Order: sequence, then C-alpha cells, then structure tokens
Amino acid sequence: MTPILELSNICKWFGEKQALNHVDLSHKKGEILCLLGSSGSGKTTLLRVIAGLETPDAGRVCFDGQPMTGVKTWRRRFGMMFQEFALFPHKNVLENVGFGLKMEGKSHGAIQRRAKEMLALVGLDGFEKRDVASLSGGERQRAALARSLAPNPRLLLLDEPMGALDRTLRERLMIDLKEIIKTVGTTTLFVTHDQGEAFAISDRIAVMGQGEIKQNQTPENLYRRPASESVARFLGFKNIFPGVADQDGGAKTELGRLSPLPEKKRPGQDIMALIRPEAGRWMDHETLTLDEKSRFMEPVISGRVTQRLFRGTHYQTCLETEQGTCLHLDMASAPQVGESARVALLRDQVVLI
Amino acid sequence: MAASMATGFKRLKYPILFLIPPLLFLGTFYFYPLIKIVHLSFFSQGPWNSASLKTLFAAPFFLKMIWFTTWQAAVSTLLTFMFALPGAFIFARYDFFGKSFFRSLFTLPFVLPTVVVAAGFDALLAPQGLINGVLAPGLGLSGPLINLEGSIWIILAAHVFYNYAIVLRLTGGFLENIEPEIFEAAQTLGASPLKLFASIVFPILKPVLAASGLLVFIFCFSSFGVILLLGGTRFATIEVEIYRQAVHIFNLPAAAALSLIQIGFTFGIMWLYARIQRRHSIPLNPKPRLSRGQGHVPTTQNTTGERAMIAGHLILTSIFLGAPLLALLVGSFSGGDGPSFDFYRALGENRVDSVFFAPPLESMVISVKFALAATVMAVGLGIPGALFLSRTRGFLTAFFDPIFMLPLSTSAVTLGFGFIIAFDRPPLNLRNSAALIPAVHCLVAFPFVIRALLPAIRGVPNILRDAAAALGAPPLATWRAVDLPIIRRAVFTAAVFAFTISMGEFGAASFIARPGAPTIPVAIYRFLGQPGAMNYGQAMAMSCALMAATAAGFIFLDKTGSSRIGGL
Repeated sequence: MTPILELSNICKWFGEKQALNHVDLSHKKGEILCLLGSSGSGKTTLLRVIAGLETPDAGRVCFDGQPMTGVKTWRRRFGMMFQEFALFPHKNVLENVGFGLKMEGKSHGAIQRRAKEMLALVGLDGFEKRDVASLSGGERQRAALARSLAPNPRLLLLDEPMGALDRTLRERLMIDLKEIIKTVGTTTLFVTHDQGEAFAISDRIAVMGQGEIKQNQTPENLYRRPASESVARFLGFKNIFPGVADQDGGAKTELGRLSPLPEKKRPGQDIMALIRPEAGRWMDHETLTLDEKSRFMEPVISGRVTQRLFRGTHYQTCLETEQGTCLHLDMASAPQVGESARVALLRDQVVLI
Repeated sequence: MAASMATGFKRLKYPILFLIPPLLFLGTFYFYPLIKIVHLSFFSQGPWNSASLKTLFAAPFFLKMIWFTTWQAAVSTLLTFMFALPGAFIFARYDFFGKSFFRSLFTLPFVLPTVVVAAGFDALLAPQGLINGVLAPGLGLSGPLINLEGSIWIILAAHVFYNYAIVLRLTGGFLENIEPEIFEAAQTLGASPLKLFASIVFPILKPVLAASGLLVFIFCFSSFGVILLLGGTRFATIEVEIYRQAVHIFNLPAAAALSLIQIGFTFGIMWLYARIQRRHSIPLNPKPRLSRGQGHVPTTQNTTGERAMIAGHLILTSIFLGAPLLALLVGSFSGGDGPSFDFYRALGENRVDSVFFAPPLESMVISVKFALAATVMAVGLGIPGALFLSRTRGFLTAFFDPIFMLPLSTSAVTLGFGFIIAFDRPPLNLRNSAALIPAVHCLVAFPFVIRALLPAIRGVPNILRDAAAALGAPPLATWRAVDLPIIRRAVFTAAVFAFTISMGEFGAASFIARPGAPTIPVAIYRFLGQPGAMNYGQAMAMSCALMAATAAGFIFLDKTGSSRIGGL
C-alpha cells in the first residue's frame, strides 16, 4: 500500500537552533504512528509542520499525493488535538464539537446530529449543554477528541493527548483512545514522550532525537532491537556496554566475551551490547532447568549486590562487578545488599547493536 | 506587647474592632459630605424648593454640557481603542527586544497627574509650543503651523494619551492569558483568519473590551484637569461645570445638583463594570501565562513583515506618548535665548510679579507634607481595614469590601466639593484647617491601600508559619520571620501608592487648597493661567519635577510588580 502521508527532507530552524534536521517519514492509511522522543527532540514541531502551523524552512509535506506547500492550516482538513485540549472557553461542549462542521457551512440540524453522534462515541452523551470549564480533565480530553474527529478529518494529529492527565486516568483513557481511533479508522499521528503510551497505542513508532528520526519500527521490533545506543537509552535500557564484534557472532566487552544469539556483525566492528534487565538468573540461589541451562551464555558474572528494591513482581537489583561496572537486573528474588552473588545471562535477552 | 501582637495577628477575637477606625473616617469624610450634597441639591431653600434646580435643568447650556461630556468621552474611548488595540495584540502575541521596558514606558502616562498631562500637551501643541517652535520657522511660516489650544483635538489627544495603558494592559493581559492553541485549534478545524476573528477572538475578548471600554469612558466622562486646562472657556464637562458653579459663580445648589448627576453616572458605570468583571472573571491582575514545560513549542521567529509592524507600532506609540513629555522638558529648560535653568532657579524665588505670596518651592514643600500626612493616614486606616477584611468571611467581607472601594467610584471633584460644603461650619468647621487636603487624599488613596495590603495579609501562607514553628520558632519569632517581612513589603507598596496619588491629585485640591498654600498641581494650574513667559516656564519646570516624582513612584511599583493593583 502506498503511504498516504509523505514527508521528505523537512528542515526547520528556530533562530540558531535546528529543530528538524532533514526528516523523512511516511505513514500508511488507517495506521497509528507515534512520534516518540524526549522534550526538545522536535516531535511537536514536526506535528505542527504537518498541520501547517509551522512553515518548514526546507522539505515537503505530501498528503494523498498532493503537496501541502502553501496550503493553509484551515484548508488541510487535518484534525488536531492539543496537549491542553484548547477547548473554546466561550462555547459549550456541543458548540465545541460542532465548530469544525460549522466552519464547513453544514446546516444546523446536521451539525447537531453529527456532534451528538461524536459525543456518544467518546462517551459524553448528556454533556451537550455543559460549560467546558465544568469538565474534568478526562472529560475535556474526550470532548477535544470528539471535536477533532467530528469533521471527519483526513488525518488526526494528537499532541501529547495524555500529557495533561494524571497517571491512573491515562491508563484508562489510553485504551479508550485506541479503541475510538480504530473504530473510526482515521489515519493518526501522535506525539508523546512516554514509551508506555507509544507501545500501547501505536502500529508503528518513530523515535525522535535532536530533530532527526532515529528509528522507525513496529513497537515489538523497536523493543527487541533498538537501532542505536541513544534509542536504547531512551527506551529505558541501562545495561549498555561498548565492545568489538568477533567472528563467531559474539562480542568482546568489559564484562568478558558475550555470546548472544548469533548476529550479523562484521568481525572487528564496534558494537554496543545491550543486556535487558530480565536477562539474569542467580547461579547460587535458583535451580535452573536443563532447558534453561542451554540458553545461558558464558561467562557467569560475579559481583556484589549494591541495591535491592522490592517492586512487587520483582526485585530491582544492582550488581557491581569485579571490574567496577553496575549491572541493573530485575530478579525474582535477591540476596541482601553487600552479599556476593553470581549471575548468568540468558542468550536471547542480550542484543548486539 | 509584641507577643500579644503576634497572637493578635493570628487569632483575632474581635475583628469588628478593626472596622471602627476606617468606618469612622469614611463616615465623616465620605458619607457626611455626600449627604450634604444631597441635602443641598434638594433642600437649599427650605423644604423641597426646586426652583433653582428647575432653572438649571431648563437652561440650554445644561443639556449641551451633558451631551458634550458624553460624546467626548465616547469619542475618546473609541480613539483609545483604535490606537491601543493594535498595541495590545502586539504585546500579547509577539516577543521582541525590550518588551517589558516598552510595556512599562507605555503605562507611565496613566500614572502621571492630569495637570502634568495637560501641561505636556499644551507645551507640545500650543502656538508657542514645541511643534510650532520647531516647524514654523523651519517651514518659513510667520504664524504658528497648528493651533490646537482650546480645541477639541487637544482634549481628545490628551485622553487617548492618558488611557492608552488601560486598554493595553487590560485587553493585552487578557489576550496574553488565552492559550494560543485555542486559535490554532480553530484553524485546524477549518477557520480562516476572518472566521477565526469573528467566531473565536472577538467573542472571547468581548467582555474585556466592554470592561476596559467602560473604564476609559468613565475616566473621560469624569475628566477634569485636562478639560479645565486645555479646554479654555469653550468646553466644560459636568466636572468642570461643578467647579465653575461652585468656585466662580458660587451657585452651590447648582453645583450640588450637578455633583449628584455625576455621582449617579459614575456609580452606574462602575456597577456595570463590576458586574462584567464578576460575570466573566476578568482578572484584575493579569498573570503571565505559565511557562509550559514538556512539549513546549519554541516561539516562532517573527517574520520580516511582523518585525516591521512591531517596530512601526513601537516607534509611533513612543512618539505619541513621548512627545508631550519631551515638550515639557524642552519647555522647562528653554530660557529667552537658548537652554537655561532659569525657570528652575525661579522656583525658589519670591518674585514680585508672581501670583503667589509664597515662592513655588514652598508649594512643593506643602505638597510633600500633605502627601506624607495622607500616606500616614491612609496606611494607618488601611491596615485595620485590611485586617478586618482578612479576618472575616461571608456577609461582612462581601458588604464592607465594596464600601471601602466606594471612594474609587466617586470623582475627586465631587469629593472636593463635598468637603467645602460639609466642613465650612460647625459641627465641623475645618475651612481653614490644613488637615482637609490630607484627608481628601487619604480618601482617594484608601481603596488602593486596601487592595495593596489585602492580598499580602490574606496570603501569608499558613504552611510557612507551620514550617517556622516546626523548626522550633516560638510564636513571636514566627511572626517576625514570616508575617512581618511579607506585610512590611505590602505596607511599603501601599505607602508609595498613597504618596504618589496625593502628590498628583488635582480635582479635590483645586477646591480645598487655601490660596496661600497651594499644592504643586494647583500651583501649576495657576501658573498656566497667568500670562508671561516666566509663569509659563515655571509651570513647565514644576510639571517636570512632579513628573519625575510620579515616575519614580511608578518605577518602584513596577519593579516590585505591584503596579497591577487596581486594574493595571
């Protein structure tokens, strides 16, 4: 399927600072694509360029084969939902949701019908006459979503749609948001700094940093194989060690020779070894099944426990190796702080990048 | 004693006691004169003899005057909007170099005494003024190029000058608080610029436009100093007419009747204003938009066109607002031939041809003394008043807060007039008392003092007290460490307010000031009314001195961020 949205070579400067650096991106119809990155990575700027709220200094935005250059925001028919929702304070919920339809010149009856339909979709039936100031955070978010979906936009842009909500509310609304978008089937681009959100909602994730797209992958592949150290660190991985690849698909690192599942790396190539937190098993405390044993790699790493936090499902542990580096591992059980321990690593939980 | 004060601040057993001093003061110096005005308008010649009133209302000049008062206020308001709205948009929507400096600079005219503003426009636009002085010889003209002295244009210009800041700060502050995303959201929903303005920008701004419009209108409607000094004999607002009837013609019943009309108008408009403000919660103190952290979009660089527009507006406004003040300065420093300090030197001399028995320098001393007295009184009454409001709740606060604000919606001229008819015979014969001017200035400053003190006294966070107590501070130490510094700063702010207001006040002082002891604004007014270059020059020099004093007060308040009290 040909992509419906295509960005090529987008550059944007704010004074001395380059916010977007030659960005190329394509997006398939009906999919949810997430722009994931920390603050200042350029993700919101990219979203605003697509919406036409910023003019790129170079590059082109194409939608459905049509170049968007020179097409004003109000003619693009893209829906956008803002972080603080930006509901019109002088209009009630129904008037907010109906605003886009009114701009299209729809009749009063059609506006009423469609707006009510959208409110029902987001679970706000009965809120028509309510003042937006009286809505809770979650209700505002729903109203904003209904407003951006009502004119049936060709593309839905969401800027940190959960950013203004508290943790528990987020979890619930995340699921609802995905369901609603999938029901309507709108092609969606959404910006977040929260990888949990990105993994839960997206069909694809584009990780952004320093105004560039660092990696564009499905959530599963992104988690399994981050393309670079910076992506891995952004995803929250802590055990990343530089090393050199060898002929047998392993690598030499400060922890010794690691032999994960064979990788296509050129011998002598500089690599990063990523050890997932769930990779470790205690050699002295746990009995390993035969099957598991074959899944472990040499060497067994020994060290001293310097941190042990109980996290409900696991212990968040820090093992200081003899070389003085720290290995962060999530373990089912853990010795006390200060005790020595030996740990073996699961082959399939170690990746060379 | 300090210990008992500490507990006194914390737990006031009888807050009602704090109400007594301000209430006594307002009763004597506000309500009593008001009652006298009512009494004089209706019962001046025995019970219900309204013959003189009938004559007044039947006179054609009367309707003409009301009409003039109204239309000049309406036109001034319209012109102020035309001039200040672009500024409000620019200040709210763009970032540019020196923004806070220009914002303060453009607010300065609002705090200048009316007499200074009038003198400035006279110095700029009169036949012997700066523009004619520079342009007429340059163009080879024999007469003045423009002569706006005594014309409606100079009045309108002075009103726009004076009120520019109201629209700039109120509308601009409101606009600044609206998230820009609201406008962007409308755009993504298909609103073209025209529709965006009609369906989003204008409806959102409507209440604040109405509120600032009403404020400007009421200020122009009650315009006194500007009209009296610049309007010549052709123009009179109700305020000016009150002055003429009372001081020149000595028709006190007519002046009283006009005062009642004026009071009725101002109260009505202030009531409307308060209603709009409450209904739409237009913040009196516009807060800067919270800086947004995560996901904040860097401000877009201004395009060349936008930069030209901003620069153009700043330059034009600076010229318009700066020219009268510059003209004052030039006027005060120009001697017979070339720059000189003659006029300033003359301020200290007791000149034979001077209209005063005392040298002008003495009026400065008098003004400072009066201002100090008014400040002490206003703060001394404001502290118990604010304490009372902060310690009570519900009905009492809701009732007395507006009562304390009443002097704000009564024009200085009506206050001054009320004073001369109320305190000229027993039981309160204060006709020759030096206390009258400080009293009336205290009355004018009192609402500002309350507004300056109240947030500070209310806002001393209990958590700070608890923190100090948890750190082992006994009650007295806690009060010293927490309450005192916060309140002390507010008291100082309130004092600067009161002092600055008293120094520049003209309307009331023009009634009450004794001939031998004029305040600075009154002295400026008299100097301007006398022929001769020396009198004119001295008026310029005194205006400059007063301008400097007011500006210093304003800069202090602006720097401490307290200039927004009372609307700006």
